[in-house]
Amino acid sequence: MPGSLLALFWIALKETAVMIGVSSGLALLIGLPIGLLLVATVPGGVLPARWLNWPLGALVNAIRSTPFIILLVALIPLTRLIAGTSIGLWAAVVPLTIAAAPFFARLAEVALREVQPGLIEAAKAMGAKRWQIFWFVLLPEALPSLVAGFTITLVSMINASAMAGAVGAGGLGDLAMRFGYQRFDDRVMAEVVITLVAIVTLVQWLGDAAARHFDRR
Amino acid sequence: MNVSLLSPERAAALGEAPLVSFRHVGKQFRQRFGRSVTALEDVSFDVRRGEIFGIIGRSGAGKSTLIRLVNGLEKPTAGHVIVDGVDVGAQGNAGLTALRRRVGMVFQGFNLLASATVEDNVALPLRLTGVRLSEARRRAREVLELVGLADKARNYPSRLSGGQKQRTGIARALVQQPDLLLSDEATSALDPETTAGILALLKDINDTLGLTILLITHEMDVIRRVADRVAVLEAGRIVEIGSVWQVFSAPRHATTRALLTPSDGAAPPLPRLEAGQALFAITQPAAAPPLELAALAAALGPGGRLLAGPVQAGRNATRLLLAAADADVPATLARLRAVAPTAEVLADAG
Repeated sequence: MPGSLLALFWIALKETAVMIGVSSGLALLIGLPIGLLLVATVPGGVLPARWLNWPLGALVNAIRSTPFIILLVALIPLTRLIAGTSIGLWAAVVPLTIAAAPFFARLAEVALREVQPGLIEAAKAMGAKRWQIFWFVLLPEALPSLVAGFTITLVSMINASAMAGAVGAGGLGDLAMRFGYQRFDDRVMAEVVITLVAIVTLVQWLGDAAARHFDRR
Repeated sequence: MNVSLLSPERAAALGEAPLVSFRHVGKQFRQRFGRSVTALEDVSFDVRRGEIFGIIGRSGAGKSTLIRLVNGLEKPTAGHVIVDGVDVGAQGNAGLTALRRRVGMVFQGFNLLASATVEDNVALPLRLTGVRLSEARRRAREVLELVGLADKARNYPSRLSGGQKQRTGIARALVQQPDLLLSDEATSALDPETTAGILALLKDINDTLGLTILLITHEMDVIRRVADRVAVLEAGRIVEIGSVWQVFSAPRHATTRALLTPSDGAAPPLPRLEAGQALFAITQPAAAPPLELAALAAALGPGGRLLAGPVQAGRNATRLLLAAADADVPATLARLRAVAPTAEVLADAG
Protein backbone atom coordinates (compact mmCIF):
# COMPACT_ATOMS: atom_id res chain seq x y z
CA MET A 1 0.00 0.00 0.00
CA PRO A 2 1.50 3.41 -0.96
CA GLY A 3 2.23 5.82 1.86
CA SER A 4 -0.50 8.28 0.93
CA LEU A 5 -3.13 5.56 0.84
CA LEU A 6 -1.89 4.21 4.16
CA ALA A 7 -2.38 7.69 5.64
CA LEU A 8 -5.92 7.78 4.19
CA PHE A 9 -6.54 4.32 5.62
CA TRP A 10 -5.40 5.45 9.04
CA ILE A 11 -7.60 8.56 8.90
CA ALA A 12 -10.58 6.44 7.80
CA LEU A 13 -10.02 4.02 10.67
CA LYS A 14 -9.99 6.88 13.15
CA GLU A 15 -13.14 8.37 11.62
CA THR A 16 -14.96 5.05 11.95
CA ALA A 17 -13.74 4.70 15.53
CA VAL A 18 -14.99 8.17 16.49
CA MET A 19 -18.33 7.72 14.70
CA ILE A 20 -18.99 4.36 16.34
CA GLY A 21 -17.58 5.38 19.69
CA VAL A 22 -19.67 8.52 20.07
CA SER A 23 -22.90 7.25 18.56
CA SER A 24 -22.78 3.89 20.38
CA GLY A 25 -22.30 5.72 23.67
CA LEU A 26 -25.28 7.94 22.88
CA ALA A 27 -27.32 4.95 21.68
CA LEU A 28 -26.64 3.24 25.02
CA LEU A 29 -27.70 6.32 26.98
CA ILE A 30 -30.91 6.72 24.96
CA GLY A 31 -31.72 3.07 24.22
CA LEU A 32 -31.41 1.70 27.75
CA PRO A 33 -34.02 4.03 29.30
CA ILE A 34 -36.34 3.33 26.34
CA GLY A 35 -35.84 -0.41 26.90
CA LEU A 36 -36.60 0.06 30.61
CA LEU A 37 -39.74 2.03 29.77
CA LEU A 38 -40.88 -0.61 27.28
CA VAL A 39 -40.61 -3.28 30.00
CA ALA A 40 -41.97 -1.20 32.85
CA THR A 41 -45.00 0.32 31.15
CA VAL A 42 -46.63 -2.92 29.95
CA PRO A 43 -49.88 -3.77 31.75
CA GLY A 44 -48.83 -5.57 34.94
CA GLY A 45 -45.33 -4.06 34.80
CA VAL A 46 -43.57 -2.06 37.48
CA LEU A 47 -44.96 1.23 36.09
CA PRO A 48 -48.01 0.28 33.98
CA ALA A 49 -48.87 2.96 31.38
CA ARG A 50 -50.44 1.69 28.19
CA TRP A 51 -50.69 5.25 26.80
CA LEU A 52 -46.88 5.41 26.78
CA ASN A 53 -46.08 1.81 25.94
CA TRP A 54 -47.93 1.66 22.67
CA PRO A 55 -46.62 4.86 20.98
CA LEU A 56 -43.09 4.16 22.23
CA GLY A 57 -43.18 0.67 20.73
CA ALA A 58 -44.58 2.05 17.47
CA LEU A 59 -41.84 4.71 17.24
CA VAL A 60 -39.15 2.11 17.88
CA ASN A 61 -40.58 -0.13 15.18
CA ALA A 62 -40.89 2.74 12.70
CA ILE A 63 -37.24 3.77 13.06
CA ARG A 64 -36.06 0.17 12.98
CA SER A 65 -37.92 -0.65 9.80
CA THR A 66 -36.56 2.37 7.88
CA PRO A 67 -33.41 1.48 5.86
CA PHE A 68 -30.40 3.36 7.24
CA ILE A 69 -29.53 5.03 3.96
CA ILE A 70 -33.06 6.55 3.84
CA LEU A 71 -32.85 7.57 7.49
CA LEU A 72 -29.51 9.22 6.81
CA VAL A 73 -31.06 11.50 4.18
CA ALA A 74 -34.48 11.95 5.77
CA LEU A 75 -32.93 13.13 9.02
CA ILE A 76 -30.82 15.87 7.42
CA PRO A 77 -32.99 18.74 8.76
CA LEU A 78 -32.81 17.30 12.27
CA THR A 79 -29.10 16.66 11.89
CA ARG A 80 -28.54 20.27 10.88
CA LEU A 81 -30.50 21.37 13.94
CA ILE A 82 -28.46 19.21 16.34
CA ALA A 83 -24.97 19.08 14.80
CA GLY A 84 -25.15 22.47 13.08
CA THR A 85 -24.18 20.88 9.75
CA SER A 86 -25.50 18.22 7.41
CA ILE A 87 -22.14 17.00 6.16
CA GLY A 88 -19.08 15.49 7.78
CA LEU A 89 -18.35 13.18 10.67
CA TRP A 90 -20.66 14.78 13.22
CA ALA A 91 -23.50 14.84 10.73
CA ALA A 92 -23.27 11.02 10.59
CA VAL A 93 -23.28 10.64 14.36
CA VAL A 94 -26.85 11.95 14.63
CA PRO A 95 -28.56 9.44 12.26
CA LEU A 96 -26.31 6.59 13.47
CA THR A 97 -27.40 7.27 17.04
CA ILE A 98 -31.05 7.57 16.08
CA ALA A 99 -30.90 4.29 14.19
CA ALA A 100 -28.97 2.40 16.88
CA ALA A 101 -30.89 3.59 19.95
CA PRO A 102 -34.20 1.82 19.11
CA PHE A 103 -32.28 -1.26 17.99
CA PHE A 104 -30.52 -1.47 21.34
CA ALA A 105 -33.76 -0.53 23.14
CA ARG A 106 -35.44 -3.69 21.81
CA LEU A 107 -32.47 -5.86 22.78
CA ALA A 108 -32.42 -4.24 26.23
CA GLU A 109 -36.17 -4.81 26.55
CA VAL A 110 -35.72 -8.52 25.91
CA ALA A 111 -32.79 -8.70 28.35
CA LEU A 112 -34.73 -6.92 31.11
CA ARG A 113 -37.89 -8.95 30.56
CA GLU A 114 -35.92 -12.15 31.10
CA VAL A 115 -35.26 -11.19 34.74
CA GLN A 116 -37.27 -13.53 37.00
CA PRO A 117 -40.54 -11.88 38.13
CA GLY A 118 -39.93 -13.37 41.58
CA LEU A 119 -36.93 -11.09 42.03
CA ILE A 120 -39.08 -8.03 41.41
CA GLU A 121 -41.63 -9.32 43.89
CA ALA A 122 -38.88 -9.93 46.45
CA ALA A 123 -37.57 -6.41 45.93
CA LYS A 124 -41.07 -4.97 46.39
CA ALA A 125 -41.49 -7.03 49.55
CA MET A 126 -38.25 -5.49 50.88
CA GLY A 127 -39.71 -2.03 50.40
CA ALA A 128 -37.80 -1.14 47.22
CA LYS A 129 -38.97 1.95 45.37
CA ARG A 130 -39.44 1.73 41.62
CA TRP A 131 -36.10 3.27 40.66
CA GLN A 132 -34.44 0.97 43.20
CA ILE A 133 -35.97 -2.07 41.50
CA PHE A 134 -34.36 -0.90 38.25
CA TRP A 135 -31.02 -0.01 39.78
CA PHE A 136 -30.52 -2.80 42.31
CA VAL A 137 -32.38 -5.69 40.64
CA LEU A 138 -33.18 -5.34 36.93
CA LEU A 139 -29.92 -3.79 35.74
CA PRO A 140 -27.45 -6.07 37.58
CA GLU A 141 -29.47 -9.20 36.79
CA ALA A 142 -29.80 -8.32 33.11
CA LEU A 143 -26.21 -7.11 32.74
CA PRO A 144 -24.80 -10.15 30.88
CA SER A 145 -27.66 -10.01 28.34
CA LEU A 146 -27.37 -6.22 28.09
CA VAL A 147 -23.66 -6.51 27.30
CA ALA A 148 -24.40 -9.17 24.66
CA GLY A 149 -27.10 -6.93 23.16
CA PHE A 150 -24.78 -3.94 23.11
CA THR A 151 -22.18 -6.03 21.29
CA ILE A 152 -24.72 -6.89 18.59
CA THR A 153 -25.63 -3.18 18.38
CA LEU A 154 -21.97 -2.21 17.94
CA VAL A 155 -21.45 -4.70 15.13
CA SER A 156 -24.53 -3.56 13.25
CA MET A 157 -23.39 0.06 13.70
CA ILE A 158 -20.00 -0.72 12.18
CA ASN A 159 -21.98 -2.13 9.28
CA ALA A 160 -24.23 0.92 9.00
CA SER A 161 -21.33 3.37 9.31
CA ALA A 162 -20.15 2.23 5.86
CA MET A 163 -23.00 4.33 4.45
CA ALA A 164 -21.93 7.44 6.32
CA GLY A 165 -19.83 8.42 3.33
CA ALA A 166 -23.09 9.53 1.73
CA VAL A 167 -23.01 12.60 3.98
CA GLY A 168 -19.24 13.01 3.68
CA ALA A 169 -18.46 11.52 7.06
CA GLY A 170 -15.61 9.39 5.78
CA GLY A 171 -14.66 6.20 7.55
CA LEU A 172 -13.58 2.79 6.32
CA GLY A 173 -16.77 2.13 4.39
CA ASP A 174 -16.37 5.40 2.51
CA LEU A 175 -12.76 4.47 1.66
CA ALA A 176 -13.86 1.13 0.29
CA MET A 177 -16.59 2.81 -1.79
CA ARG A 178 -14.38 5.52 -3.29
CA PHE A 179 -11.12 3.65 -3.84
CA GLY A 180 -12.21 0.04 -3.96
CA TYR A 181 -15.53 0.27 -5.77
CA GLN A 182 -15.45 3.44 -7.81
CA ARG A 183 -11.75 3.14 -8.79
CA PHE A 184 -11.89 -0.67 -9.19
CA ASP A 185 -8.99 -1.07 -6.75
CA ASP A 186 -9.65 -4.59 -5.51
CA ARG A 187 -6.71 -4.47 -3.18
CA VAL A 188 -8.01 -1.50 -1.16
CA MET A 189 -11.42 -3.13 -1.12
CA ALA A 190 -9.96 -6.36 0.23
CA GLU A 191 -7.85 -4.55 2.84
CA VAL A 192 -10.82 -2.57 4.11
CA VAL A 193 -13.02 -5.64 4.28
CA ILE A 194 -10.34 -7.62 6.12
CA THR A 195 -9.89 -4.72 8.55
CA LEU A 196 -13.66 -4.58 9.16
CA VAL A 197 -13.76 -8.35 9.74
CA ALA A 198 -10.91 -7.98 12.22
CA ILE A 199 -12.64 -5.12 14.05
CA VAL A 200 -15.96 -6.98 14.23
CA THR A 201 -14.21 -10.14 15.43
CA LEU A 202 -12.41 -8.18 18.12
CA VAL A 203 -15.58 -6.37 19.25
CA GLN A 204 -17.52 -9.65 19.37
CA TRP A 205 -14.73 -11.37 21.29
CA LEU A 206 -14.48 -8.53 23.83
CA GLY A 207 -18.27 -8.42 24.16
CA ASP A 208 -18.52 -12.16 24.76
CA ALA A 209 -15.73 -12.00 27.34
CA ALA A 210 -17.45 -9.13 29.16
CA ALA A 211 -20.83 -10.90 29.13
CA ARG A 212 -19.19 -14.05 30.54
CA HIS A 213 -17.45 -12.02 33.20
CA PHE A 214 -20.75 -10.60 34.46
CA ASP A 215 -22.67 -13.89 34.23
CA ARG A 216 -22.92 -15.58 37.66
CA ARG A 217 -25.81 -17.88 36.87
CA MET B 1 -27.25 -10.30 67.84
CA ASN B 2 -30.00 -8.85 69.92
CA VAL B 3 -33.25 -8.18 68.14
CA SER B 4 -36.12 -7.09 70.29
CA LEU B 5 -39.66 -7.38 69.09
CA LEU B 6 -40.91 -4.16 70.58
CA SER B 7 -39.73 -1.50 72.97
CA PRO B 8 -41.32 -2.08 76.41
CA GLU B 9 -43.20 1.25 76.21
CA ARG B 10 -44.67 0.39 72.85
CA ALA B 11 -45.60 -3.13 73.94
CA ALA B 12 -47.36 -1.67 76.97
CA ALA B 13 -49.20 0.87 74.83
CA LEU B 14 -50.33 -1.81 72.42
CA GLY B 15 -51.23 -4.21 75.18
CA GLU B 16 -52.05 -7.62 73.84
CA ALA B 17 -53.12 -6.33 70.44
CA PRO B 18 -52.44 -8.95 67.75
CA LEU B 19 -49.60 -8.24 65.34
CA VAL B 20 -51.66 -9.16 62.28
CA SER B 21 -55.39 -8.95 62.10
CA PHE B 22 -57.60 -10.00 59.19
CA ARG B 23 -61.09 -8.48 59.42
CA HIS B 24 -63.64 -9.94 56.98
CA VAL B 25 -61.08 -9.84 54.21
CA GLY B 26 -62.15 -10.62 50.67
CA LYS B 27 -60.15 -10.60 47.49
CA GLN B 28 -61.48 -10.82 43.98
CA PHE B 29 -59.37 -10.83 40.86
CA ARG B 30 -60.94 -9.16 37.88
CA GLN B 31 -60.55 -11.03 34.65
CA ARG B 32 -61.35 -10.20 31.08
CA PHE B 33 -64.93 -9.73 29.88
CA GLY B 34 -66.03 -8.42 33.28
CA ARG B 35 -65.70 -11.78 34.97
CA SER B 36 -64.01 -12.08 38.33
CA VAL B 37 -62.58 -14.86 40.46
CA THR B 38 -62.93 -14.92 44.22
CA ALA B 39 -59.64 -15.85 45.86
CA LEU B 40 -60.60 -15.08 49.46
CA GLU B 41 -63.95 -14.57 51.14
CA ASP B 42 -64.72 -13.23 54.61
CA VAL B 43 -61.41 -14.24 56.12
CA SER B 44 -60.93 -13.19 59.75
CA PHE B 45 -58.16 -14.26 62.10
CA ASP B 46 -55.44 -12.82 64.32
CA VAL B 47 -51.74 -13.58 64.53
CA ARG B 48 -50.52 -13.01 68.09
CA ARG B 49 -47.18 -11.48 68.86
CA GLY B 50 -44.39 -14.02 69.14
CA GLU B 51 -46.28 -17.00 67.76
CA ILE B 52 -45.76 -19.10 64.67
CA PHE B 53 -49.05 -19.10 62.82
CA GLY B 54 -49.47 -21.58 60.00
CA ILE B 55 -51.97 -21.47 57.19
CA ILE B 56 -52.48 -24.74 55.39
CA GLY B 57 -54.50 -25.50 52.32
CA ARG B 58 -54.34 -27.24 49.01
CA SER B 59 -53.00 -25.42 45.99
CA GLY B 60 -55.53 -22.90 44.74
CA ALA B 61 -57.06 -22.43 48.19
CA GLY B 62 -55.92 -18.79 48.31
CA LYS B 63 -52.84 -19.11 50.54
CA SER B 64 -50.50 -17.09 48.33
CA THR B 65 -53.03 -14.32 47.94
CA LEU B 66 -53.59 -14.26 51.69
CA ILE B 67 -49.92 -13.89 52.62
CA ARG B 68 -49.42 -11.20 49.94
CA LEU B 69 -52.15 -9.12 51.54
CA VAL B 70 -50.05 -8.81 54.70
CA ASN B 71 -47.26 -6.81 53.08
CA GLY B 72 -49.45 -5.12 50.49
CA LEU B 73 -48.23 -7.03 47.42
CA GLU B 74 -51.97 -7.48 46.90
CA LYS B 75 -54.77 -5.20 48.11
CA PRO B 76 -57.99 -6.58 49.59
CA THR B 77 -61.23 -5.88 47.74
CA ALA B 78 -63.19 -6.20 50.99
CA GLY B 79 -62.41 -5.89 54.68
CA HIS B 80 -59.18 -4.83 56.36
CA VAL B 81 -55.75 -6.28 56.95
CA ILE B 82 -54.20 -4.61 60.00
CA VAL B 83 -50.49 -5.08 60.70
CA ASP B 84 -49.33 -3.58 64.00
CA GLY B 85 -52.15 -1.05 63.92
CA VAL B 86 -51.59 -0.12 60.26
CA ASP B 87 -54.37 -0.73 57.72
CA VAL B 88 -52.34 -2.21 54.86
CA GLY B 89 -54.97 -1.72 52.14
CA ALA B 90 -55.21 2.00 52.90
CA GLN B 91 -51.49 2.70 52.53
CA GLY B 92 -49.98 4.68 49.68
CA ASN B 93 -46.51 4.05 48.32
CA ALA B 94 -44.68 5.66 51.24
CA GLY B 95 -46.75 3.82 53.84
CA LEU B 96 -46.25 0.50 52.07
CA THR B 97 -42.50 1.02 51.84
CA ALA B 98 -42.33 1.77 55.56
CA LEU B 99 -44.45 -1.29 56.37
CA ARG B 100 -42.48 -3.64 54.13
CA ARG B 101 -39.24 -2.64 55.80
CA ARG B 102 -40.63 -4.08 59.04
CA VAL B 103 -41.94 -7.29 57.47
CA GLY B 104 -39.48 -9.85 56.10
CA MET B 105 -40.52 -12.39 53.51
CA VAL B 106 -39.06 -15.69 52.32
CA PHE B 107 -40.13 -17.42 49.13
CA GLN B 108 -40.50 -20.93 47.78
CA GLY B 109 -38.24 -20.05 44.83
CA PHE B 110 -35.71 -18.20 47.07
CA ASN B 111 -35.67 -15.19 44.71
CA LEU B 112 -31.99 -14.39 45.19
CA LEU B 113 -30.05 -12.15 42.83
CA ALA B 114 -27.82 -14.38 40.71
CA SER B 115 -25.56 -11.41 40.06
CA ALA B 116 -24.78 -10.72 43.73
CA THR B 117 -22.81 -12.66 46.33
CA VAL B 118 -24.58 -14.18 49.33
CA GLU B 119 -23.56 -11.27 51.57
CA ASP B 120 -24.65 -8.69 48.99
CA ASN B 121 -28.01 -10.44 48.62
CA VAL B 122 -28.47 -10.26 52.38
CA ALA B 123 -27.23 -6.65 52.44
CA LEU B 124 -29.69 -5.56 49.73
CA PRO B 125 -32.61 -4.53 52.02
CA LEU B 126 -30.19 -2.33 53.97
CA ARG B 127 -28.77 -0.82 50.79
CA LEU B 128 -32.33 0.12 49.81
CA THR B 129 -32.62 2.20 52.97
CA GLY B 130 -29.37 4.01 52.19
CA VAL B 131 -26.96 2.10 54.46
CA ARG B 132 -23.37 2.31 53.19
CA LEU B 133 -22.09 -0.83 51.42
CA SER B 134 -19.38 -1.63 53.99
CA GLU B 135 -21.79 -1.25 56.91
CA ALA B 136 -24.52 -3.21 55.12
CA ARG B 137 -22.07 -6.05 54.42
CA ARG B 138 -20.91 -6.09 58.02
CA ARG B 139 -24.49 -6.47 59.26
CA ALA B 140 -25.22 -9.02 56.53
CA ARG B 141 -22.34 -11.18 57.78
CA GLU B 142 -23.72 -10.99 61.33
CA VAL B 143 -27.04 -12.38 60.16
CA LEU B 144 -25.31 -15.00 57.99
CA GLU B 145 -23.54 -16.14 61.16
CA LEU B 146 -26.96 -16.55 62.78
CA VAL B 147 -28.28 -18.77 59.96
CA GLY B 148 -25.05 -20.78 59.79
CA LEU B 149 -23.79 -19.52 56.44
CA ALA B 150 -20.89 -17.28 57.45
CA ASP B 151 -18.43 -19.31 55.37
CA LYS B 152 -20.47 -18.80 52.18
CA ALA B 153 -20.65 -14.98 52.37
CA ARG B 154 -18.53 -14.42 49.26
CA ASN B 155 -20.10 -17.19 47.15
CA TYR B 156 -22.66 -16.62 44.43
CA PRO B 157 -26.10 -18.27 44.89
CA SER B 158 -25.51 -20.59 41.91
CA ARG B 159 -22.89 -22.34 44.03
CA LEU B 160 -25.27 -23.04 46.92
CA SER B 161 -27.52 -26.00 47.69
CA GLY B 162 -31.27 -25.45 48.02
CA GLY B 163 -31.09 -25.36 51.80
CA GLN B 164 -28.23 -22.85 51.72
CA LYS B 165 -30.18 -20.68 49.27
CA GLN B 166 -33.15 -20.64 51.62
CA ARG B 167 -30.88 -19.80 54.58
CA THR B 168 -29.65 -16.86 52.52
CA GLY B 169 -33.28 -15.90 51.86
CA ILE B 170 -34.04 -16.08 55.58
CA ALA B 171 -30.95 -14.01 56.41
CA ARG B 172 -32.08 -11.40 53.87
CA ALA B 173 -35.51 -11.30 55.49
CA LEU B 174 -33.98 -10.88 58.96
CA VAL B 175 -31.35 -8.26 58.21
CA GLN B 176 -33.73 -5.35 58.77
CA GLN B 177 -34.72 -6.78 62.16
CA PRO B 178 -38.37 -7.14 61.19
CA ASP B 179 -41.32 -7.51 63.55
CA LEU B 180 -42.89 -10.17 61.36
CA LEU B 181 -41.61 -12.87 59.03
CA LEU B 182 -43.77 -14.11 56.17
CA SER B 183 -42.90 -17.52 54.81
CA ASP B 184 -44.39 -18.40 51.43
CA GLU B 185 -43.95 -22.18 51.08
CA ALA B 186 -40.33 -21.72 52.15
CA THR B 187 -39.60 -25.44 52.32
CA SER B 188 -41.75 -26.72 49.46
CA ALA B 189 -38.84 -26.85 47.01
CA LEU B 190 -36.55 -28.67 49.46
CA ASP B 191 -35.98 -32.34 50.23
CA PRO B 192 -37.25 -33.67 53.60
CA GLU B 193 -33.92 -33.49 55.39
CA THR B 194 -33.21 -29.93 54.25
CA THR B 195 -36.80 -29.01 55.14
CA ALA B 196 -36.19 -30.21 58.71
CA GLY B 197 -33.11 -27.99 58.95
CA ILE B 198 -34.90 -24.89 57.64
CA LEU B 199 -37.89 -25.48 59.94
CA ALA B 200 -35.55 -25.90 62.90
CA LEU B 201 -33.95 -22.58 61.94
CA LEU B 202 -37.35 -20.83 61.77
CA LYS B 203 -38.30 -22.28 65.16
CA ASP B 204 -34.97 -21.16 66.57
CA ILE B 205 -35.41 -17.62 65.23
CA ASN B 206 -38.89 -17.55 66.74
CA ASP B 207 -37.53 -18.71 70.11
CA THR B 208 -34.40 -16.59 70.33
CA LEU B 209 -35.51 -13.38 68.62
CA GLY B 210 -39.17 -13.57 69.60
CA LEU B 211 -40.00 -12.99 65.95
CA THR B 212 -43.62 -13.57 64.91
CA ILE B 213 -43.87 -15.88 61.90
CA LEU B 214 -46.80 -16.28 59.52
CA LEU B 215 -46.25 -19.19 57.18
CA ILE B 216 -48.26 -20.81 54.45
CA THR B 217 -47.77 -24.38 53.34
CA HIS B 218 -49.56 -27.32 51.81
CA GLU B 219 -47.63 -29.77 53.97
CA MET B 220 -49.15 -30.86 57.28
CA ASP B 221 -45.72 -31.87 58.48
CA VAL B 222 -44.49 -28.27 58.34
CA ILE B 223 -47.38 -27.16 60.56
CA ARG B 224 -46.82 -30.07 62.93
CA ARG B 225 -43.14 -29.28 63.35
CA VAL B 226 -43.16 -25.53 63.92
CA ALA B 227 -46.57 -23.90 64.18
CA ASP B 228 -48.29 -22.91 67.41
CA ARG B 229 -51.65 -22.28 65.80
CA VAL B 230 -53.05 -23.20 62.43
CA ALA B 231 -55.83 -22.10 60.10
CA VAL B 232 -57.11 -24.43 57.39
CA LEU B 233 -57.97 -22.63 54.17
CA GLU B 234 -60.32 -24.16 51.63
CA ALA B 235 -61.64 -22.41 48.53
CA GLY B 236 -60.84 -18.97 49.93
CA ARG B 237 -62.43 -19.50 53.35
CA ILE B 238 -61.03 -20.49 56.71
CA VAL B 239 -62.77 -23.74 57.61
CA GLU B 240 -60.95 -24.52 60.82
CA ILE B 241 -58.67 -22.60 63.17
CA GLY B 242 -57.06 -23.30 66.52
CA SER B 243 -53.96 -24.58 68.26
CA VAL B 244 -52.10 -27.16 66.23
CA TRP B 245 -52.80 -29.67 68.92
CA GLN B 246 -56.57 -29.06 68.91
CA VAL B 247 -56.92 -29.04 65.15
CA PHE B 248 -54.76 -32.10 64.65
CA SER B 249 -56.16 -34.20 67.46
CA ALA B 250 -59.80 -33.46 66.70
CA PRO B 251 -60.17 -32.25 63.11
CA ARG B 252 -63.72 -31.09 62.51
CA HIS B 253 -63.63 -30.29 58.81
CA ALA B 254 -63.30 -32.80 55.98
CA THR B 255 -60.47 -30.80 54.41
CA THR B 256 -58.46 -30.96 57.61
CA ARG B 257 -59.00 -34.68 57.87
CA ALA B 258 -57.94 -35.12 54.26
CA LEU B 259 -54.80 -33.08 54.84
CA LEU B 260 -54.08 -35.11 57.96
CA THR B 261 -54.32 -38.50 56.28
CA PRO B 262 -50.76 -39.69 56.43
CA SER B 263 -49.10 -40.27 53.12
CA ASP B 264 -46.04 -42.50 52.86
CA GLY B 265 -43.36 -41.55 55.33
CA ALA B 266 -45.37 -38.86 57.10
CA ALA B 267 -45.78 -39.02 60.83
CA PRO B 268 -49.14 -40.36 62.06
CA PRO B 269 -51.75 -37.88 63.30
CA LEU B 270 -51.40 -36.82 66.89
CA PRO B 271 -53.40 -38.76 69.50
CA ARG B 272 -56.48 -37.17 70.99
CA LEU B 273 -56.07 -35.09 74.13
CA GLU B 274 -58.60 -35.56 76.91
CA ALA B 275 -60.10 -32.76 78.96
CA GLY B 276 -57.80 -31.62 81.77
CA GLN B 277 -54.76 -33.08 80.15
CA ALA B 278 -51.70 -31.11 79.16
CA LEU B 279 -49.37 -32.24 76.43
CA PHE B 280 -45.59 -32.16 76.68
CA ALA B 281 -42.89 -33.00 74.20
CA ILE B 282 -39.30 -34.02 74.82
CA THR B 283 -36.86 -33.80 71.95
CA GLN B 284 -34.05 -36.22 72.60
CA PRO B 285 -30.82 -35.70 70.62
CA ALA B 286 -29.14 -38.95 69.61
CA ALA B 287 -26.08 -38.03 71.65
CA ALA B 288 -28.01 -37.29 74.86
CA PRO B 289 -27.89 -39.73 77.79
CA PRO B 290 -30.87 -42.10 77.98
CA LEU B 291 -33.89 -40.86 79.92
CA GLU B 292 -34.77 -42.46 83.20
CA LEU B 293 -38.35 -43.75 82.95
CA ALA B 294 -39.05 -43.65 86.66
CA ALA B 295 -37.93 -40.04 86.85
CA LEU B 296 -40.15 -39.15 83.90
CA ALA B 297 -43.13 -40.88 85.46
CA ALA B 298 -42.54 -39.09 88.74
CA ALA B 299 -42.30 -35.76 86.96
CA LEU B 300 -45.58 -36.34 85.15
CA GLY B 301 -47.33 -37.36 88.33
CA PRO B 302 -50.37 -39.63 88.63
CA GLY B 303 -52.28 -40.02 85.36
CA GLY B 304 -49.19 -39.38 83.26
CA ARG B 305 -49.32 -41.02 79.86
CA LEU B 306 -46.90 -41.78 77.09
CA LEU B 307 -48.90 -40.73 74.01
CA ALA B 308 -46.45 -41.34 71.23
CA GLY B 309 -42.79 -41.94 70.79
CA PRO B 310 -40.17 -42.09 70.00
CA VAL B 311 -41.01 -40.18 66.82
CA GLN B 312 -38.23 -39.25 64.46
CA ALA B 313 -37.65 -35.48 64.72
CA GLY B 314 -35.00 -34.45 62.26
CA ARG B 315 -31.88 -36.38 61.47
CA ASN B 316 -30.36 -36.76 64.89
CA ALA B 317 -33.21 -36.47 67.33
CA THR B 318 -36.31 -38.32 68.42
CA ARG B 319 -39.37 -36.98 70.13
CA LEU B 320 -41.57 -38.25 72.95
CA LEU B 321 -45.11 -36.99 73.47
CA LEU B 322 -46.34 -37.18 77.04
CA ALA B 323 -49.62 -36.22 78.67
CA ALA B 324 -50.13 -35.24 82.27
CA ALA B 325 -53.40 -35.02 84.15
CA ASP B 326 -51.93 -32.36 86.39
CA ALA B 327 -53.58 -28.96 86.02
CA ASP B 328 -50.45 -27.14 87.19
CA VAL B 329 -48.70 -27.05 83.82
CA PRO B 330 -45.73 -24.82 84.76
CA ALA B 331 -44.87 -26.99 87.76
CA THR B 332 -45.05 -30.17 85.71
CA LEU B 333 -42.89 -28.58 83.04
CA ALA B 334 -40.30 -27.58 85.63
CA ARG B 335 -40.18 -31.14 86.97
CA LEU B 336 -39.88 -32.54 83.46
CA ARG B 337 -37.09 -30.14 82.57
CA ALA B 338 -35.11 -31.41 85.53
CA VAL B 339 -35.20 -34.84 83.91
CA ALA B 340 -35.06 -33.80 80.25
CA PRO B 341 -33.94 -30.22 79.54
CA THR B 342 -35.68 -30.12 76.14
CA ALA B 343 -39.17 -30.63 77.59
CA GLU B 344 -41.78 -28.18 76.30
CA VAL B 345 -45.51 -27.65 76.52
CA LEU B 346 -47.33 -28.40 73.28
CA ALA B 347 -50.91 -27.91 74.34
CA ASP B 348 -53.01 -27.44 77.39
CA ALA B 349 -56.53 -28.76 77.09
CA GLY B 350 -57.45 -27.80 80.64
